[in-house]
Amino acid sequence: MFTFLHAADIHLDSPLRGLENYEGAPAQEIRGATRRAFENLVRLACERRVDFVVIAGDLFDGERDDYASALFLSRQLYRLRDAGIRLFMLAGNHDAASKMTRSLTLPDNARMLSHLEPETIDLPDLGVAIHGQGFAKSAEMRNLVAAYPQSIPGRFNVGILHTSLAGREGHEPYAPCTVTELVAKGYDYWALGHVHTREVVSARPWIVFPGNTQGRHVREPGAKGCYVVSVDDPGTARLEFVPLDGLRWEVCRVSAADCERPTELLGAVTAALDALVAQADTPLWAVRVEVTGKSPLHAELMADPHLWTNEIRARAQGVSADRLWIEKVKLLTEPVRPDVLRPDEDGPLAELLSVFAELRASDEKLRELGGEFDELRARLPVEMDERGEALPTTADELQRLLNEVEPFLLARLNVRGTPS
Amino acid sequence: MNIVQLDLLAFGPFTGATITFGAGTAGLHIVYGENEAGKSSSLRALKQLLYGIPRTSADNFVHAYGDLRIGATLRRRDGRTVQVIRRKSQKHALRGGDDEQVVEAQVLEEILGRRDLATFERRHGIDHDELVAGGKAVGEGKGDLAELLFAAGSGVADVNRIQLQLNSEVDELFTPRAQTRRINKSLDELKKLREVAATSRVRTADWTLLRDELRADRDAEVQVVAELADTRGRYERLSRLKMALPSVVRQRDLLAELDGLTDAPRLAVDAAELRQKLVTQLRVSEHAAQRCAEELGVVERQLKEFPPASPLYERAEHVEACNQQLGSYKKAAKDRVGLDSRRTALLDDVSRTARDFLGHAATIAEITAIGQRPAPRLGVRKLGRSPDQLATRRGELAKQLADHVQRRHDAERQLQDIGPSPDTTEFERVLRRARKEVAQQEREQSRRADAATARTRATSALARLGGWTASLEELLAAPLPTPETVEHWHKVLREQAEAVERLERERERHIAQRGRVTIELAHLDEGFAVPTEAHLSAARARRERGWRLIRALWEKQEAPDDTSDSYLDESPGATTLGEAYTLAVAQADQIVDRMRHEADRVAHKSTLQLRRDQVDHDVIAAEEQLAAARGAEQASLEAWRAIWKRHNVVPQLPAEMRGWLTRVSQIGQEIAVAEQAEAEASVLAERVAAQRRQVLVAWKQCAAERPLPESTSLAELLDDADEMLQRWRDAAQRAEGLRNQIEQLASQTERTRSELQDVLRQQDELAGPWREEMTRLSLPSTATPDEAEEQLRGIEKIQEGLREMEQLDERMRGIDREAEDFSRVVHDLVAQAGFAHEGWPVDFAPTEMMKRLKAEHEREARRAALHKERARLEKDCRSQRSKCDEARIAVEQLCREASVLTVEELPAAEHRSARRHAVEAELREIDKHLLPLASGEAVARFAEQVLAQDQLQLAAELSTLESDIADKDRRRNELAARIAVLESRAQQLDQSAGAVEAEFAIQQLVARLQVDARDYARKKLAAVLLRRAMERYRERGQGPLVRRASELFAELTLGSFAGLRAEFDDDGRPVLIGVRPGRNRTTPIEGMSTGTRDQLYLALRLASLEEDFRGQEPLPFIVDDVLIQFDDARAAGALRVLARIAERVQVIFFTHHAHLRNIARTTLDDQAYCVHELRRADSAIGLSEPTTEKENR
Repeated sequence: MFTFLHAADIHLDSPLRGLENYEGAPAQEIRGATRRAFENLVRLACERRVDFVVIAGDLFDGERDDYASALFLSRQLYRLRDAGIRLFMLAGNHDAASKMTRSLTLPDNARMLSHLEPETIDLPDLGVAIHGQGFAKSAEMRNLVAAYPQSIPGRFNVGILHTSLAGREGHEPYAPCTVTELVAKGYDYWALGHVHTREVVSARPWIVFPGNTQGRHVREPGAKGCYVVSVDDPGTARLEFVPLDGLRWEVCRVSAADCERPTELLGAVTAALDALVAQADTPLWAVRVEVTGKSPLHAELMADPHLWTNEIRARAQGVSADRLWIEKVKLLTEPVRPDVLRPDEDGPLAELLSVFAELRASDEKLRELGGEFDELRARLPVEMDERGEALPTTADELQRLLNEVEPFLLARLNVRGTPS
Repeated sequence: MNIVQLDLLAFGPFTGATITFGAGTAGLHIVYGENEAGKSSSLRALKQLLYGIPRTSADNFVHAYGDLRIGATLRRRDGRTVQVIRRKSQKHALRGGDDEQVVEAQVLEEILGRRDLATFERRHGIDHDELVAGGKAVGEGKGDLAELLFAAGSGVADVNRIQLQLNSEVDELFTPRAQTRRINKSLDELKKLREVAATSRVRTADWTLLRDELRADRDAEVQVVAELADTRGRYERLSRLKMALPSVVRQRDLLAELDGLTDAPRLAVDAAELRQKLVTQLRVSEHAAQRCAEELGVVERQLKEFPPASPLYERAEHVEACNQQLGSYKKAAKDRVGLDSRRTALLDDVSRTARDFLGHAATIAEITAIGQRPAPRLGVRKLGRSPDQLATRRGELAKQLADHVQRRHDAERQLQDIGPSPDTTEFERVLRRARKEVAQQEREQSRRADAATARTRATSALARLGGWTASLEELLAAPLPTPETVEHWHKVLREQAEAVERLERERERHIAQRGRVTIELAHLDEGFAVPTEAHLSAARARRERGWRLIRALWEKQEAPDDTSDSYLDESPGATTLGEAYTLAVAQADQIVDRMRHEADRVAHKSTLQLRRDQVDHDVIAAEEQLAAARGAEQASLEAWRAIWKRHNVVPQLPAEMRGWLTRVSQIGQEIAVAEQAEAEASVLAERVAAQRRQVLVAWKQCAAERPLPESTSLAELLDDADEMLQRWRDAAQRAEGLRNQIEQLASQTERTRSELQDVLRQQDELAGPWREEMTRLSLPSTATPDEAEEQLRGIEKIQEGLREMEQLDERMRGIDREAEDFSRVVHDLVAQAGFAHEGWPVDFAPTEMMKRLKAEHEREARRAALHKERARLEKDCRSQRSKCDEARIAVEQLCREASVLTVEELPAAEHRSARRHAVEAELREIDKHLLPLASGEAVARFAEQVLAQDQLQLAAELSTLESDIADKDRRRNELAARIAVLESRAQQLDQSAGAVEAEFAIQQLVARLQVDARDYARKKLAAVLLRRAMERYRERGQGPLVRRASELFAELTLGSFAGLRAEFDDDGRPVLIGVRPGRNRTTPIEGMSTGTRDQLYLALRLASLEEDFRGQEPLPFIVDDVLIQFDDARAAGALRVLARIAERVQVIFFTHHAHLRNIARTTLDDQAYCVHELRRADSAIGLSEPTTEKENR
């Protein structure tokens, strides 16, 4: 009987994205979140006295040459060595691009599997055989599984692989392979990495993505951590997921449909945040608040989105000043009766609405309008606005902006309009 | 839609109140109420009737939410009426007039169209705040026409501020060349952070280098440290040998001495000292024991000589108590004397009073009898004072009465002099009405002047008109063609002229086309003409004809005829028919060949020829159409001239005649204006005269006896009337004062008289009781109150003296009793103490016994002290004897230890013992010193090595080793320093998270930039599109709106401005400016006063409102106290404008300013408006229902 720990995608020192600093935000507490998660992993391994640890790729976060990350890793690996815990890992696409991976001196308890060919490590004391091959280059498009050896009889066979299988949304299709191919190898446990969302692909044999150990932006929500795998004498494994993240991302949706006064909405937001924070004993939360619904407050919200963002942040500080970071506030409300009312039949406001309507009808005019942002666009960092979330260029993006501007402007004019 | 009636059934302060606006088509309704009268509540009720009562309402302070009700009768444009009641409810809030039947919300929505509450408030209402904001925005926008039209049209008065705010917010976010804007700052910061991130990174190559250096230095350090340890070991051993030498020599000498002391006793170190101490102690103790025994004998003798204790000493407590009581006893005896003398004095006093009362020296019995008399039952004092007061009061009242009667008489005489006042109510009403007409007199003159001016303008316009020779009247009477006719002919002639022109152009075009086709054909035929089908047909026909000729000749054998000749003639170069035919065949073949070879050109030519034919046809057709069109045009012109001929006018073209007719129409308008002004003037004059007559009639009715005034104009007449009226008022006021005075005096007289009677009655009532009281006091009934008072005081004094004497007697008896008890106690105690025989008096015995008792106490104390001293001496004797024994035993023990028999032998033994101790101790010290130097070796062996060492060689060796050690130390320190530096650097790098933190900060900044840039985009676009909409609205509506606003503005400013004009400013921006009357003077917006700007905004707003009437169902226009900052004249102007608008749409004007209501009364025709007054209730609980005052109807 033995126990091991399966983690992947540590992405050490990868910066958290999308967190705008604001007065009262728990910035001090949040720094070094990926390091905290890795420390938690090492602590967990020691506390549970696991026999070995498997990390299925992406220890580092790419080409950034900052050896401080390697040094930190090294310190943690020595802690594992002091506790007598072995470590088996391989290079993922990010590690392959990293200079640090090549010059890292590992303590004798840690082993980086070969990236030239599949390597098998036999642990006769535990009755375990570990197979794996790392990435030689970042864009590894070969099917690496094909070359993996068949399982060794009488051993608990663990395969380590950095892959997105036949493809996973939002992830590059590196080292492609199929579940059937994995099953065919006859292994007991496939410790996969690369996909940041936790997923047990199969239970017989176990094919498992543990997800990353620390979410880095709002598109990586929920608890992040690793699996503790306990194997009994007949070779049956039991899995337990243990969160390691020091900071958890969530989207908190609040309906403003029944709110007639701003205080009611703020109360609802507070309650939702309270409920969220009470859910789990996580040290820190990064929360995106989305206000939705057909609401009587729509115009008021649209008139000054900044004000509401700040109000909600202030409420969040009331909920938990040092544990809650409001990543963003998205006001997605709609007017209660959009189709019935028009501000005037033939007057200035109808003219204003017709200006909007004309722009919506003509992509060409819309794009012309996009020229208004050229001066600012030229100054912004190129990688900043890939999705056009700030300064739109395509007609679709401009349409979205127009949908924001119309209620905003009508609200400024104190008019309830007919946004389409 | 009009509101016929608004029922404030249960809302705010109202209960069952109603405002009836009436079923008329429209009208100006002035809803007037003072503060707290419920004006705001009724305005709110009106809006909430139409749009629902909000979930949280403050209008439930009288009626609970569930009871709130607002009802109304609404009349639609098509005349249908709807009766509804609004409840506060989520569902079925709208009910019918019975408050039961549910009315669908759709019914109201149909009436309101697609106008929500905000739209209704913005477009169909204006309040003071909006007017002020609008006026302010007019100033801030500096006349920006687009902004002004947009603001007034939409009711968003501060659109200018919103636009500026948006622009400013955009600029605050980002300006391309700024440094301090939010986004600019973030970008700078981002640049710096990137530099920080780059420099704080720990590069792998740097780290590897550092690690290698550190490893090499650490290895070197290990080696140096090992060498140093070895050298130090050798140095240390030689040093030990050197250090041990003096000790080893001394050790050798001491061991020799110790050999001679082997038989010396081992006494304790302090043996001599102990011996000395014991001997001394023995001597001292023996002496002390002896002295104690002697002292004990003396004490025992003294004790035997003491006598036993006395009986007095045994009763010491009683004696002391007795002595304490002696003080009280003596004081009581002294007090008794004082009490006795006080009693005697009192007795004298009472006796004296009794003597005065009885008139002779009284006995004790008599005095006691007086003391026991009962007190008078009625208050003598009260009775005694009353007669005096009553007499004085009676005198005063009689005087007052006379005075009142005299004053009343005087007042009645003055009132008679003033006489009766006339009733001026009717006179005043007539005057009020007449006063309104005074202004009409001026207006009449003004209208007459207007008429004259208009006529002059018409005459001069006729002179400039041209083409008319007859008189002005004839011109106006003449049935000139109507504008429609002119327009018809203008259209006909213009269309015909256009047709002619178009046909001409058409013809030209065809001709030009024909030219082009002809030229192209000519080009095609240049060189060799291109063969055509016609050429081919001709050639073939020719060939056929030749063949037919030849065949005929051949078949019929005939000679060639003329036909053949002519055929030959057509074939130049041929002499015979055969040649000609051959030629014809060759020609036809040639044509066919060419047509085959030049098929394209042939086809092209054929097309061109077809086109030329077509174009020829087109040219002819166009010419025909042109001729027809010219004919028609000429005919129309004739007909046009014929229309005018009957008025002897030679007409220009219709377009010009249109202007001519407009000028004629203007002349007509001028004449109409003049006539209207004259008519108005006549009416006004008649009204003024009528009023004057009415005033005179009323005057006569009021004061028939007075002559009528001679003033001629209405104003003078009114002044005279006012003066007269004032005189009447003064007289009436005086008379009223006098009447009040008489009434007051009458009531005072009555009161005085009644009081006088009271006084007389009281005097009568007093006589009986007084007699009784005097008898009781042993006085005659004629005694005065003062006498009675004195008698009464005497009795009281005697009674008081007797009461006090009784108290004194009681106290003296108590003192006597206590003295007796004390004497008895003293006597008993003296007997018991055995002093009965002394015969001491009571107040002496206790003191004497106390004195003797003191001596007894002192003797007993001395006896106790002697007992104590004896016990102490006995104890001391025992102690001294025991010490002697102990000392003796100890000395004997010492002798035994030193193996001697007597004390005297002890000192010699003690000396030898001490020396042996000293030698052994020093040897031990040396061993202790050598042991560490031997460093684990046996000390004896080490000592041998020391003694064997050559001292000179040792010193040289030590010196060499010292310098070696110093070198190695230096080397090790250098390495340690280098390692420390490298380690510190490594540690720094190891702990470094600088780059990581900078990256995190960069991400935070990028997140912020993302938000800010989106904000920028939103606001920038909002600003751009708002401006675009404003410009477009301006372009669309500028003309009619500015024109109408111009007229309204002139009216609102009472002609201070002639109107408004749109112009371009220096930046080419369309702006609005004010036009002053005469000479085309203009005033920019910046030059207008605040009030005028308000009026400008109001003019634009009302102009836009009028535009609105054209479309959907009109809603009432709600005006909430907008005129409070207008002066009276301009407020009157504004009310006139509103009244005119009210002819087309219901206007409800809320105000709490009475002067505005009054201005309406003096300014507007009675039929033009209606006042609804809300009255504040006197009680604090609720408000009275509003009343509708149909003024002057």
